[in-house]
Amino acid sequence: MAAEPTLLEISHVKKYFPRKKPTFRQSQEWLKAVDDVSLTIPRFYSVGLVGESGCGKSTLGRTILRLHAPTGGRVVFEGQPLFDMEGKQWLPEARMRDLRKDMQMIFQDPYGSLNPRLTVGQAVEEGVARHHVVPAADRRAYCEEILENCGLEKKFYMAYPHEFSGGQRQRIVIARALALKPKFVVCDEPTAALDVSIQSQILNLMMDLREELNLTYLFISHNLRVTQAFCDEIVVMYLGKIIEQGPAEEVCSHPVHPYTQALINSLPVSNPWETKPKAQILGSIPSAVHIPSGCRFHPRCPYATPRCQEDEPAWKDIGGGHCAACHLI
Amino acid sequence: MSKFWERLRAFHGRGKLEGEYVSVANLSWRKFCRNRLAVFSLIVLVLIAVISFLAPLITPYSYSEIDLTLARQPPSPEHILGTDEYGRDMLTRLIYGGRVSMTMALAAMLLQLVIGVVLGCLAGYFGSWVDAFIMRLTDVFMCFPFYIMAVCLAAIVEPGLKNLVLIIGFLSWTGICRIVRAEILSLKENDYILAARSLGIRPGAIIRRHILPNILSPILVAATLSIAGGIMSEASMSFLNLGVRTPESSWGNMLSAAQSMQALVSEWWRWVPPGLMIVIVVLSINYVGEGLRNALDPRISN
Amino acid sequence: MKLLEVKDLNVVFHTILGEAEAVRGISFSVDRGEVLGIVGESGSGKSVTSLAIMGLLQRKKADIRHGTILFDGQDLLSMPEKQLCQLRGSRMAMVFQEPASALNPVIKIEKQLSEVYKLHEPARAKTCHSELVALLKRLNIPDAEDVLKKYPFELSGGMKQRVMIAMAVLCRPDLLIADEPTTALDVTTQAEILELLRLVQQETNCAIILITHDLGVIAEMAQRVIVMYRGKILEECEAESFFRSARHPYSQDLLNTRPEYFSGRFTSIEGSIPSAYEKLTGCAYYGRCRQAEPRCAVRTPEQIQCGDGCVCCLKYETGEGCTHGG
Repeated sequence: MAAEPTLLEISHVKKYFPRKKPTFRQSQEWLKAVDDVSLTIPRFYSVGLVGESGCGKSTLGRTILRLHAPTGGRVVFEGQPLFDMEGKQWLPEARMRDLRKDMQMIFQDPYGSLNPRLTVGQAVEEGVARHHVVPAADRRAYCEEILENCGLEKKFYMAYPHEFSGGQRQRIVIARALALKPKFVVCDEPTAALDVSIQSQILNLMMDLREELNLTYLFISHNLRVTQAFCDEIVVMYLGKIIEQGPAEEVCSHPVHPYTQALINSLPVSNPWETKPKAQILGSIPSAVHIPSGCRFHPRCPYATPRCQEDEPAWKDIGGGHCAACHLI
Repeated sequence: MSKFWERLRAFHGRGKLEGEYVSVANLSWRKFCRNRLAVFSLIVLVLIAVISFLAPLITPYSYSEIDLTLARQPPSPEHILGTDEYGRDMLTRLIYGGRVSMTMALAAMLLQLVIGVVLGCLAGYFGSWVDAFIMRLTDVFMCFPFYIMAVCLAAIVEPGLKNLVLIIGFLSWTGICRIVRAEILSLKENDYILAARSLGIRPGAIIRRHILPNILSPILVAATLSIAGGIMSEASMSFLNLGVRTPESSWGNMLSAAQSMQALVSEWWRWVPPGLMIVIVVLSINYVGEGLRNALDPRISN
Repeated sequence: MKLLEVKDLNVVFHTILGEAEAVRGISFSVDRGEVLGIVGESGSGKSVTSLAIMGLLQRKKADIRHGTILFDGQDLLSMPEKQLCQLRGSRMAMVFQEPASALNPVIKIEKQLSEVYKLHEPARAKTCHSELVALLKRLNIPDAEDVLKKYPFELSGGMKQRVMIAMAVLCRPDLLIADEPTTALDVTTQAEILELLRLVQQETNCAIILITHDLGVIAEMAQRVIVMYRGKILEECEAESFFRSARHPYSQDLLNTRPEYFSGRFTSIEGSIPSAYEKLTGCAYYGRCRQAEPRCAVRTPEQIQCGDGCVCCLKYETGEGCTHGG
């Protein structure tokens, strides 16, 4: 694919949450949810962000959109810096609110992300009215059309969210985000709460809308199979850091980092007669307060060497845009 | 219209609305109606309110006209609940008293609602130093005993209906304020607040459209309960002669007028009816409040 | 004798919105030592079925209209609550989807585990510490001593689910019902939990009813599969023949929606499952079925014996197409 111009540039973004300080302890402890992440998202690309829960992928998505206050780093959207903590640049809150028209988010839980007291129409109209996407007189018709494009008939316009199934609610959430005609959409596990039969409806809808509206997606998921199918590029995160990145097919068929390999081997088989190598990952993800030294994956890594405990592995390019951070490459 | 949109429409989710359409309000009403005690209490309250506000039309006597020849008469066909020490008809005074007591409690409730909700919203939504300041303020208000403060204030300002409302309102907003703040703190964790922020909605609009409607039920419940509290406070204050002044009647000052040993021992009709009314109204309001809370809480479904 | 036999079970919920028929006459059985997978979307009645077996449905709200549940020959539905309590936890046990909410947050793990002994084998309750450690070790739980001393909030989600499974198999039950045991967990933890369930099954030779909507979990674990939809069993067969050549159109569609069969577009099932309040005529899957015929809208299909299982679809009424691999 020819190099598209960069839409979003994330450099050295950090997000630390303060831990409650024990009464007689001096030092403040930090939960390092996102620890120095750099990523460039080209226009019209779908980038998949995968990892276990607790690896900081949702926090990264929200920090980029400034829904969390960042601890460090810089995010530039279409040449406009949203924040640059080192350069002490900070886009004023009011300007940021205007800019949100171009950067939207689709949430994981379709039950929690819709206000139960607003009708479907009100929910979709709100953002459209805020950003004057269309003249006030056309607003209703416009929102009805958007909803219809997302697979919801006109007659649902005055209904409340609790009258819908999970899949229909997720359509409303998508319609609400896309009614602003955004350029960039962060999808935070958009299908994790849905049934399998509904999941593919929603994914197809999102693929079609990407084509039609020229969207760029950051697709956050823990489901590697879905991400592989949906995205152009896959980024694997572990304990707040990116450990492998590359074209989706390439990462899934030839994973180089032991963690990515373990993720893929953990997937259940497709059919009972198939066999797969046993996943060789030990224990569970450590807390992000006490991050292991050296390579953060070494306590769970089946191939760990003494060197892994001391040196942090460098970012290596394996060719074809496929990079990873591991001493064993 | 492109072919693409037609393809999209082809896989519309089948509607769930073909069945009966049930709105939130309708559902809440049905739930409320299932609670017999609450419905009965509501009917009692409405009845008392209607009778009180139609007082001049119903009552044959004047509540203030003194006729000492008729003083302290026990109940009789002319005076169903007897008369007080100045010969005024007790039933008439009871009905007029209900009007005063209930209006007062309602007004005090509205006042504390306004103060409590505004401060609670500010504290809960903005957090940090705003929250710390408002919470310390409520702590200050809460650590003074209510009646001592109320008696002091009533002694300083002129006792009377209006001042009583102001005193009760200014002293008891803290409960509602803390409820509102706590509700907002937990509501803020909801994704739809985050969604509203990510849509670029301004804080004022988020509070107005997304937060307040969703904490309506705890506010409503706190409000009903504070009406009950208001009636009690009015009764106590009037009982201490710091509230509604005679000849104006209220349930509280009717009780206080019957404070003598003689009245308590041998003139039961002077203190039982107002006391009973307070008990009935406060109980009913509490039952209605509880019924409302259950009806408005989507987590409780019977 | 089968370990568990459910016959013509029908469960109705009385709610403020009206009557909801959650389970509409299902029959199935479980053999000793067998892993039975129940697949279905949310709203298909699979969890209600498992709660009915455990006798955990609230009697006020849920009404078991008719049907029998025989556990080892005893009728569970007519059994007094006291006897049922004896059975629950010792001979049949359940693992829930949310381990976080199934454990009491203010009681240490050890006490919660020994509670089970206290109820069913009081003599052993006092001296069970070493047994508990041994059990956790057998279930591959690292630092067993340490885990026992902790409170639930100190454990990760996967560890909590392991403790739940340990609690369930403490008294070596004959039947373990696992209701979406891995849905709330990561893939890596899911693999471990499935491994653990396999180990438990080998060790105690208990039968497992595994309820899930993830066909991958079924492929990994189950020997036999039941497909539920809107309170009915649409298909029942051996796991292998289910994945090779499922017969019911719904099963076929479900198999096709798996993301690993992606080719440019995800295969989807249109529409959504009809709500439990709707009165149904004809086949429940009619509105979404790609192979539907006009008669499907009016005639309710019966369960038909077919190959190594049964299927509930008018297509197979004549007995044609029942052989597998054809």
